[in-house]
Parts: sequence; C-alpha cells; structure tokens
Amino acid sequence: MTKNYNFTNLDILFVDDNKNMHLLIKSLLLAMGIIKSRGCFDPNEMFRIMQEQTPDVVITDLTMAPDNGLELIKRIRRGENNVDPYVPILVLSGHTDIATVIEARDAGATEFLAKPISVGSLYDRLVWMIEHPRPFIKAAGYVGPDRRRAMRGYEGLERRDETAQETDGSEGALISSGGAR
Amino acid sequence: MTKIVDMGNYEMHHPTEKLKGKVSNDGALSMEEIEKRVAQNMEKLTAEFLKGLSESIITVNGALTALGSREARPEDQDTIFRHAHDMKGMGGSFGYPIVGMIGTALSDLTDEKTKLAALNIPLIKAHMDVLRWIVDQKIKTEEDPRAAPLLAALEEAKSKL
Repeated sequence: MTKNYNFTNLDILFVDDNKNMHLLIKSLLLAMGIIKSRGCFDPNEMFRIMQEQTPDVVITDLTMAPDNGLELIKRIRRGENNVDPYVPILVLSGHTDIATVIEARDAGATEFLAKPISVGSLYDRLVWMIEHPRPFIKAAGYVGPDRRRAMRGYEGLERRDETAQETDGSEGALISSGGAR
Repeated sequence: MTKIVDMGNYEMHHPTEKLKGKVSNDGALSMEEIEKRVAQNMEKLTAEFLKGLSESIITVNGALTALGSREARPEDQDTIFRHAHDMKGMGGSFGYPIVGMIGTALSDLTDEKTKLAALNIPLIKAHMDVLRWIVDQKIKTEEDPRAAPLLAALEEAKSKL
C-alpha cells in the first residue's frame, strides 16, 4: 500500500506538446494538492524555465515536435546551461514498448509511466521517486540514475549488457513492471 | 553538496536528497479525496478533449487527402502519426479507451517503419470513419453495443484492404 504524502510544497515542471495533456496533468497535480506546477510546450522553453528556478520534479513526454524528450533528458543530465543534472525526471509516454522504456532509461530518465495515465498511477510514481532516491552514475557513455536499481513498474524485466557493465558499472538489473496503485 | 566517489572507470554521485524534504505525511490527502477532486473536474476536461479530437480528425483527414494526391509528402504521414499517437495516449486518460485503441491502430499504420508509398490509405480512411462516428456518438469503450458492428467491420477490412 502506497503511503500518502502532503505534496503542497512540490514544484513540478512538465513538458508536452498537446494542450489537452497540459489540462489533464495540471488537473491531476492540483487534485493531489500540488499548486505549483508549470507547463511548457517544447523542450527549449522548458530549459529556459528550468534556468529561472529549478523544479523538484520534471515530467516529460517523449514524442514532441520538433524536438524529442530523449534529447531533453540527455541535455538535463549533462547539466547544460547550469541546470540541475540530478533533478528527478518522470517520462510520460504513449510508446509503451520495452525498447522505448530502455531508451528512456539509457537517456537518464528516473521513472517511466505509460499513457494512458490515471491520478493513481501518477501519484504512485511520485511516491516511488520520493521513497527510492537513486545515486547517479557518471561514465563515458552514460549520466543518470544508477540503472542497477529498477524503475517502478518494470521489475523483473532484466537485460544483461556485459560490455556496458564493464565500462560504466551501471548496467545490470533493469527496469520494472506493474506498479499502479 | 554532492558526494562524488571515484569508482575507477566511472563516478558514483550522491546528490543531496531534496525531494523527501519537500513532502510530509502531515496533512496528506487520501487517494479517495484525490480521486473525488479529479472526478469533479473531469467533465470539463473531457469536453475539451472531445473538441480537440474533432479538430484532430479534420487535420488528419486533410493530411489523408493530401496523401491520396500526386504530391504526397512525408510531412502528411508524420501529421497523421502524431495525431494518432496523441489519441493513443490520451484516449484512456480521458475515459475514452476506444479512442486509444483506434489511435494505436492508426499509429501502427502510419509509423516510420511504413514507407510513404506503402501506406494503406483505404484502411486508414476506414479507421478515421469509425473514429468520427465514435466521437459523434460519444462511445467510450469497445464494450458499448453500438461499437461492436463497426469494430467487427474494421477487423474484416484489415484482412481485405
């Protein structure tokens, strides 16, 4: 059973190029008591806003025009323009295949939530990020949360990549499955 | 302050844990209360979603017409895919899983794995016709008896077109 938290002080920044998703995300966050959420329609706008004030959590779609969310995640993890590279990043995506989840994880995403979303599943992922913070790995080919610890909802789907394991030490147990409340 | 540990061929960073310090259990809302709050706003959100969906249908049909012409462009395929992908993600989120289902099928028909010349325009059109009808009738799920004959016809079309 997921613990209940008071989220009033959280500051969430989300990016999605669809205005109806904006309305939905804003509404779900507000229902959870998150008054301070900022939405933007493209990664560049998000970067500009992140520079003004670091959010507590970033939520991003993957498929956006003209840029994509994977590149945004990599830019954040590189700390481009002095943004906080350690900020937790939750991916919300309609691409639900495991290859996309792995791509998001390898770009440096903290958690992944497949669309369609519900208030319960979104709440669950936020709680997971609060209760299971992960150290970061900085290696030649990867910067992001330690991938040896599973993402919520994808436990048990293991991939072994011995080459990567030898070079950056962060490959091994992978991401997880099934986690909605 | 981030603690950095040198692990030889990579670094382990232990950033200051900020997130937990921003939340507490005091004054937490129950999930029941949160869901009640969402439900109160959902009718308005769904109306916006359906309005946006009608606009998407017009845009997609425009791109389909263009694709059927001699000057078919990859941008038109991309337009259809992006709208279909949005439908796939949003349908279930707004209480219309059947829209998500049609969106998934349309995404599969128009994704980057399918070359422009190989697009199955009649089958895409058939999906759009069904979608238009579903939106007009405000049908939410495939279990709705009104949806069954059309979905069956769509299945049959897949084997013929």
